[in-house]
Amino acid sequence: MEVHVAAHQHKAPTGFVQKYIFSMDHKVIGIQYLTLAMAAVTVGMILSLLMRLRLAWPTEKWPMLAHIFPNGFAGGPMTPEFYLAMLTMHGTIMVFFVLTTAPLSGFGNYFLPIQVGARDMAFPFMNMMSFWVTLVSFCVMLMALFATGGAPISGWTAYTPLSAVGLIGGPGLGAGQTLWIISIAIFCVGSLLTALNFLTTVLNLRARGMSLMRMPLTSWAWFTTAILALLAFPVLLAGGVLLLLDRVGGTSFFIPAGLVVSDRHLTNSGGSPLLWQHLFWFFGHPEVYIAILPGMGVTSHILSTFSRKPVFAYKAMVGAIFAIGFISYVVWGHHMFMSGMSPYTAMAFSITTMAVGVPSAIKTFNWLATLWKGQIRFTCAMLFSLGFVSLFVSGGVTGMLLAQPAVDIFLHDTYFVVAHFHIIMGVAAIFGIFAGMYYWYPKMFGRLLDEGWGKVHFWFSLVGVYCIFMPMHFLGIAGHPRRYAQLTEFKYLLHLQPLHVFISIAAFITVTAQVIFFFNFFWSLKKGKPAGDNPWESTSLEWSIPSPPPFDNFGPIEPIVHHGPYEYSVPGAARDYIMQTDPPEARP
Amino acid sequence: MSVATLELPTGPEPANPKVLLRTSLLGMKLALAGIGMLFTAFTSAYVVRHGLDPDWHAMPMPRILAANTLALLISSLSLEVYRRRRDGRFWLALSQVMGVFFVAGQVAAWRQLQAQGVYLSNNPHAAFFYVLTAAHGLHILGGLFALGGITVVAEARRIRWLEAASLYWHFMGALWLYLLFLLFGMN
Repeated sequence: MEVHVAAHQHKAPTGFVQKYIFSMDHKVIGIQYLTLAMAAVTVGMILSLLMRLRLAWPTEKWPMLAHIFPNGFAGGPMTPEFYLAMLTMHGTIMVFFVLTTAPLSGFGNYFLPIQVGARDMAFPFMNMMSFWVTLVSFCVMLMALFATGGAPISGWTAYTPLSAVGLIGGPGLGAGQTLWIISIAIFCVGSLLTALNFLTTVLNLRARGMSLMRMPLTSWAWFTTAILALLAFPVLLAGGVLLLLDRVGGTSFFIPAGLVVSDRHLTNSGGSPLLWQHLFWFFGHPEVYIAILPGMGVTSHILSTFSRKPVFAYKAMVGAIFAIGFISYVVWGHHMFMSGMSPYTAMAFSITTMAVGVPSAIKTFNWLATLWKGQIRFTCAMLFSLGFVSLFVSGGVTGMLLAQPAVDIFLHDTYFVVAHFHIIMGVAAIFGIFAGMYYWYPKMFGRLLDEGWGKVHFWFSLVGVYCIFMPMHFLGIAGHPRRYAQLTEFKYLLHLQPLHVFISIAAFITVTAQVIFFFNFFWSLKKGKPAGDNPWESTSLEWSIPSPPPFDNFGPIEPIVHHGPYEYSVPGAARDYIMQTDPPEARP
Repeated sequence: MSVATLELPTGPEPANPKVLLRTSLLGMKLALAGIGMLFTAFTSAYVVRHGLDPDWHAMPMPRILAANTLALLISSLSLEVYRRRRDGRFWLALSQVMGVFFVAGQVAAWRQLQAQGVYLSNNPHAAFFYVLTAAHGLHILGGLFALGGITVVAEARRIRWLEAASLYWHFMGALWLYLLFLLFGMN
């Protein structure tokens, strides 16, 4: 076994700017990413509420909002174009700047090096660059909201040819769409730098004794996620470059011959709109796992910690993470069952998609087995992890339904899919982030989040998200199409309107409940209970050092690992957990 | 803020240069995997787009590309000589000059095409030529920066820099041969 002690490549900074702004310390960068994600999630939630207003009360005029967005309301209810712009930006901001940024770049940056016993990432300068590049990308994305014509209306998937034809396709498809593509291209670069750092750090900078099979499952999840990011984002980048050229360079990569848009016949010829879908979803499906895998890692880690039991079948868990990562590359076609693909191709994608169910079930049953007969401690982190398991199952089973082309063709453009992907990729991943936040906050800031308020936050969130997304399954089965601002002209949908009102009210309550979390976050920074080094009696390396950790993580001590990551309730041991750095004798 | 704070990290060099070398090389290999995926995606777009279009008119290879290819090969070989000897300014200089020659040659190829009226928008084959050569060219510019850095960086990190830059430069050479084959070898 070859392992090496991490070497610190840079001195502790002294000035404010180098310490907190242009910092190369992975911990500061992690917090910067989390702050970015918190800003982004706030924007994303506001956009979703605007959409919910339109869906529940389609004829309402909202004079105050009309004052803020004169173009979006134009003297009446929200225009359908403005609705689509909100939809596009909500999806984009949430997927890229929240679900990718917080679990991978945020927590991963902060805790991956510590958990493997390194003093920093392998390439600290590159790490700093990755954050600033991502921030620039976010600013460009926000600019799209204020571009002439507004934000793009082509969805977070930017389907061609709509996204390629420019302003004649609709408002927001001019400068807004161009800025969108540029932002995403920049984001790809930032994510690649992050992925490089994660992989190199895990492979080369582990502490003495930290064999791969002694790594916590969180680190395994970040490692696998980084592989996905490294191989997926370049494909999106390539697609983005070609799309941009179709818009500004007069090329026809994605624009077919004979296209008529807004009564204008385009001169392009020979392009393929489906080519974009292939490129996009070859990235897009791994992206789903980039969002959810870190949540799985965090959940495994927390369930074990608060059940005071080892993770059930650790090796199978590692294998399942890898299997999910691998399969994610061969399922992208299930997003395209509606595109007229050959039934044989569809069948192949259907089988690979259902195959994801196998490693997912392995993980789920192992989580349940980890809980079985444990001495469960219902902390907030534990509750959010249990919520994650619940949401992962609820969102996963509908994935199995949608994996079948015959079913998908009916359900694909309905709210059923909205329910499915929000539960599995959106909310489950968010619960993973919250679990991580309640669990690691004391390590990051030296104080505990208030558990009482945390529990209130948890119950509002859990009940809330189910109230929002469960009814959407019924909308979908009843044939209610997604993506439209208003479908009140269709009689067969009229009786579903009360459901929309219910969903919107649930959404307002759930979003309002998140204020509890933000309040708790800032209040606890100053007033929270002091945490000490290891408030949860956990085993992994980050709990063996002070909270918050010093600049080079381990100070003068070189961490040496003697134990696996989940040695809880070992018979005959002095206490019910053995830390990874405890001497070998700790295990009798 | 001053430019100085944005400089590459410096500090006490750790005891184990072997680990640092391996880390640099691993990082470079992973970066090349990412770059490889970028060009794989372009390739798949090329193949699909080529297969779909009944009006695909393949353009002939601009002649100057032969000279450019030769320059890049010489550049790669001379860098390899320098890497193995760990010395010999001549070989490094030759490598750098040939690299610059390659970039200049690529720009000349673009200008020739434009003079013939072959633009990004009027020929899909040419569009791919422009996209692929531009993407490759940008990576080549990064490589020239890395080659320039070999003699500039601090002594302690020179070997790492040289090894990683060589790996990158050879990859770019091989990638260029592949792109040539993709663009003109299959017509």
